[in-house]
Amino acid sequence: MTDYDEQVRKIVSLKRYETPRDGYFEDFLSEFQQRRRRELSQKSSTALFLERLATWFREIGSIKWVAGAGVAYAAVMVAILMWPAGPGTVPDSNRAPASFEGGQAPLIPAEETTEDAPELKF
Amino acid sequence: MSTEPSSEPASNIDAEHDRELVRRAQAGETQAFDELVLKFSPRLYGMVYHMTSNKEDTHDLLQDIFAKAYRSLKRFRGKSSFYTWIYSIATNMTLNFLKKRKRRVAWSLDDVDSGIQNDEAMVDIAHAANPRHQSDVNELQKKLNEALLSLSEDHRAVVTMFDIQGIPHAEISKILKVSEGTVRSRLFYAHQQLQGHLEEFIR
Repeated sequence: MTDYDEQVRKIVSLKRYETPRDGYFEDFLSEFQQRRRRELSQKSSTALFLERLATWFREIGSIKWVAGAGVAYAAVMVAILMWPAGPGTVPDSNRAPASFEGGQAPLIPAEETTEDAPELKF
Repeated sequence: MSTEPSSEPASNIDAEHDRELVRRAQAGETQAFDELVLKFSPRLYGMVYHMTSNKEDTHDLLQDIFAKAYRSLKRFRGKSSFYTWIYSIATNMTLNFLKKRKRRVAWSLDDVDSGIQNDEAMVDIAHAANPRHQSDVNELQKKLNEALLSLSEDHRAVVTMFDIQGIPHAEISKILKVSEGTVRSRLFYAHQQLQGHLEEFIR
């Protein structure tokens, strides 16, 4: 450190003697306490609930990750299952239930019906 | 530039007692936090005041700093000391405040406090440091304020912490989250600038 540096430091360090009046810090604390009470009373019940919830999650430790992952997985599955099909969605014919349409030929040929079955003789 | 200030606040503070106070405050005991306020407000006042050079700004800012620390206390994990943690909050908030104040058109050097120009200790020490200028404490104080305000906020922060408050380089680097080398180079550059402003008071 040069002599000039030392001189500068000595002069600048005079600033440390600039302190507030006696009793300032006690008054400062009183003002801070008032402010804290005011802020606490202004906090909405929702904010308090969220804060308590956050505290609870913090306190339960590592189990929160397991619980969180489980809840997230369940939410995704519910969303997939419940998601409604949009109006432009084309139905997949492979997945559609079987149905009979009048214009088509019956699956069983006419000669195999009971009315035309050969008569059995004993 | 290797001389460390004689006072080492970080090592002198009762870290264990602080941890206990923090733990109690985190559990919701407001009195424990009040103790921390009383313990740290004088040091933080010094830091903020020497950065802003204005008592009203310092008072308001200090209230905001403790309010923020109180709200964030649950997130404090104790990786650093409470002293370093709250000093970091104070420094960041002060630097942000100074950036905003710079944009305020109405603010000028006239808003700088005159300080404690009639304080006997100041007069004595000014005399001891500069016997030739013993009658000119006011002038010295004015020049000193102007010189400090001529520095950039980052440089003023290290000068305030190292030269005025006596915080060691290593602690400043933790507070500002920069390397010790950066702290030292900022100090070196700041001292060079200050020499120019305070030339008439240097023997």
